[in-house]
Amino acid sequence: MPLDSAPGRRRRLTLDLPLVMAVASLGVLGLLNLRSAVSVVNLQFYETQLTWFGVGGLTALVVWLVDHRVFLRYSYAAYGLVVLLLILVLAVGRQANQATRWLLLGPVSIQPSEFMKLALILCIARIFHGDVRPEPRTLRDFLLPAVLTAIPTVLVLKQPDLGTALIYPLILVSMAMVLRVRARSVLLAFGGLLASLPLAWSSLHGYQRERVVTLFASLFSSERLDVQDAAWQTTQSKIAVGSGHIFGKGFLHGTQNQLGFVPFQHTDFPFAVWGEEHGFVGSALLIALYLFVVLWALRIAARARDRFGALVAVGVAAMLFWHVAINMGMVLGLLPVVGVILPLFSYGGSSVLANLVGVGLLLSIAAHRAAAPWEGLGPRHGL
Amino acid sequence: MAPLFGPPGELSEFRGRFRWVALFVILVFAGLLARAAQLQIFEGYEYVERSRHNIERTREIPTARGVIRDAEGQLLAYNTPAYTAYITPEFFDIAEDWPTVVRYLDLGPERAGKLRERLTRLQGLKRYQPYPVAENLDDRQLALLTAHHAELDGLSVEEAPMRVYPLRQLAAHVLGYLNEVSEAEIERHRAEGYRYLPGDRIGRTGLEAVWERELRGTRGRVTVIVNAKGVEKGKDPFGAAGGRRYEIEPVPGNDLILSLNARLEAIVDQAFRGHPAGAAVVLDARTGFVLAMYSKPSYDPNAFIQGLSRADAQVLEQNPFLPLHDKTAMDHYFPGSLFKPFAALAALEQPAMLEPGDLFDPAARFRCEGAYELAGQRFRCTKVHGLVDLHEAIVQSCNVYFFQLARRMGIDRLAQVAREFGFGEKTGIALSKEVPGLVPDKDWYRSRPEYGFQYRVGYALLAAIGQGNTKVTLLQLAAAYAALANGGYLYRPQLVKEVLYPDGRVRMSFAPELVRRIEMTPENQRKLVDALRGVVEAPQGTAHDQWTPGLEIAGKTGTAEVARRRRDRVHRRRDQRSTEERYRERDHAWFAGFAPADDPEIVVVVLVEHGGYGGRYAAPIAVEIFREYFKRIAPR
Repeated sequence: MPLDSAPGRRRRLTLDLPLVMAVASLGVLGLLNLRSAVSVVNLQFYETQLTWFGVGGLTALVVWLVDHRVFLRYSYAAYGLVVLLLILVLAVGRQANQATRWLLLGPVSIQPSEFMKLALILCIARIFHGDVRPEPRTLRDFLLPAVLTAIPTVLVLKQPDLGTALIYPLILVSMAMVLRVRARSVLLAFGGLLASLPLAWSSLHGYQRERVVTLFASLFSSERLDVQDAAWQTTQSKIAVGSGHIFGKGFLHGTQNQLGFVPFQHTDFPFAVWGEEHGFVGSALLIALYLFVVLWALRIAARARDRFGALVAVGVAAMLFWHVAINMGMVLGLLPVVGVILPLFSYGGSSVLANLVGVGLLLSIAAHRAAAPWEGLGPRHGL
Repeated sequence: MAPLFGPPGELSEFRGRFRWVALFVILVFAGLLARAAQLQIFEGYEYVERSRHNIERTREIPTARGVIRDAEGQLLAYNTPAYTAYITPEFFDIAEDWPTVVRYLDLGPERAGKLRERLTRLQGLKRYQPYPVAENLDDRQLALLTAHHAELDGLSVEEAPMRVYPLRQLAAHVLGYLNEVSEAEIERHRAEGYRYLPGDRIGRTGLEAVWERELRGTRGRVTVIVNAKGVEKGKDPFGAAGGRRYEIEPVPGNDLILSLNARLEAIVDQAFRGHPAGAAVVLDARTGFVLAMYSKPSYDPNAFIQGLSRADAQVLEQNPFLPLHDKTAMDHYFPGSLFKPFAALAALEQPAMLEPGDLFDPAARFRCEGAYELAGQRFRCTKVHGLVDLHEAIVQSCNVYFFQLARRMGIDRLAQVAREFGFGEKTGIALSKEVPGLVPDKDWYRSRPEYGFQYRVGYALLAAIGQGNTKVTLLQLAAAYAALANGGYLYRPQLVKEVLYPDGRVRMSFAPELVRRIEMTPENQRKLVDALRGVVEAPQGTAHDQWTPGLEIAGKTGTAEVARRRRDRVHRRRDQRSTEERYRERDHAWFAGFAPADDPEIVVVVLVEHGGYGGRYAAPIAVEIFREYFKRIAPR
């Protein structure tokens, strides 16, 4: 860590306790909820998840100890490695639920698309970090980040995994907010996005379109459309959450969950299980916890002394925010059904590990504030 | 929030922007919270209700149909334990799993196709009611389904009693059979407050149909908790039903006790050996209760329970002897000479009606020369009887004597007496599809275009000997002969003696039902009974061949013309017709009688379709029935 601090000026390592406690709470609640969600699926899942939480927690601690700027150096390497893994997934990956998302590594199967989120955040942070021009950016300046985002997006869409693929561009857009961008370019980007909507629509799979249609139908009509599959999932998920009422049906007592009415209750719909068993009180608590974590991550970004730290913190905050917002929106019947996990609640070792490493990065950024003035740090100084 | 302002430059600028980013995040999460509040607080009760609706399933508990017993307690229809495979269409994957089910259950292509269609239709209704696809599973099928139960969502196997008719063909027309209830019937019965489900069996014909509501019983109901695949998870595993459970115990159907005697039924069947088609009725002459109702050929109602294949049904429908017809009540025939006692009584009871100056004297004799001429038309007799009085005319079945009577009385008097004895109207035995028969009178002929709206005296002559247009059923004849035998008490034929609750208590009990008392003097009745005895006992009697010492049978033979004689003669010359055609032009053979003649217990009416001469073909059957009845059923 050559650039962290000058000799003699090493500061005491600090631990961001509020973040740790909030994340630990989420982890404990997530594990408990998973225990209920998989009680009808396979309790083995719960034990696996517990192991991954252990691994993830330890990794996060290591990351916290390391100055985040070290990751700057390895960001491209990480990106390259994960892209390679994504290609490998398509070639020899394990298939489940009509999608090929996993790589089998001995006894464990990993989902590289989860790690891609972190790699992408580091990669984009590095590019933006190196761009210290004072003048507002134009669209041309985003060409490289856009290409780097598009590669994993396309690879993940091939799996197919629309939900995860959606997260990558959202991370890019969110992180771009750190930069000064010409207003015209922003408008142009939005215009282009709107114009490409029909193209996006036509590239959707039949079942995905059906989900979008049923969502709008259910939002704007009182008709019960629970005949089709997609609407069935949304309807049952809403029934689960709604029937939790104020205080919930109690741990392990959610009938929608226990009797198999909530689809994918341990992967995509754990919030439905939570809402059913713990009611509005539980939902509010969970929403508050996630809100706190996201805001706190933004606070870490705002207080970071270096561009890279701020960018990474924003990226992690964006990753958490979009996951929570999309997943809960889907469970509550506000968004179409796309497979987006709920951080720390959904079953999946890779996502637990990726999210906890993300938290580790936040802790590292909070802990390793540069001794030197932030302006003094940059590519010109050998980074 | 933390201080967002820092050193100048781009980074500090985006620190300022964080306020807005944070605000955006807060707004989105507030939106989620608001939505959660909407679902969980404001619409919470509705969703609680819907989640309960998801898991609560009302399960029907089958009931047992009442049994039918004969007068001696022998079972005529009962239920036997059997296993039925059900499919709940909503949980069943027709495209994927149906071929497997077809293979396991050995369903033929015809039945498989029909069932698949039905399941597909039911799937749209979302009623979550199991539909029976195969009944009476054998051990192999049961083992297969039990073993593969887990792979076939929506399939279940339940114990469901099967209806069994141990007598098979015997009394099949009386008992009737069950088959599947139609959607229209379900609706109709629902309107009347009776619940049927698709796949239920309903009494289709005979007593099973008439007494459906007594026999059926009431289903029970229980609310159980099911998972998303419809698999039952007990009564309330999560306390979710909140103690709300509706349980209604099933109530078994009531039992019928018939007056019918299964052993007598078998005796009748035995007596009909060698004859392809015919019918017989045995009544208790003192009460009108039916002891035997027999129609040949018959069918096996057990085959109908599982739904007859189209081919089998066609065989039954195309059988020229009409096995599905109950010939005792669903068909009517010319009574032929069996009508003569009633014609005689018409004269005996009201001689004043006869033409003035030609006062009828029962002792008077008419000369029979083998035929009777009226307005240039010849009405034939069976043979030349010479001088006969009323007694001899009945004993020897002389047509000419009755032509003379009819000529004097006119058709309306004949019709009047016939109607008094119940001809021309349904007996009301409470079996479906009974026909009334026909008793023509002057007005009837005057209303018929085929007779030119004209009445002729010749029609009365034919009516007196049970030809022309007089049509009767065996049941009517039996009731009328019973009335002749017992001195004028016309009883309604009845089959059911008692209806019992499942625990054996009597729910209904039926007494003999007198339709009317027919006026006749004891002397006249005596005269007729004597004449009917003479038919069997006198040397010239038409059934004298069948005279059996110890059996005091009074009766009458009859031969009902089926084809016109004239055409018959033409045909006889060029004999290229098939055996069946010739068979079908043969006369029906009749016998009706009662015994013992002095104190009548039973009435027997026998019809041998296309049997030929009544004294030769029908009388032996009747006499065998009498003989066996007094030997085995009611020994004296």
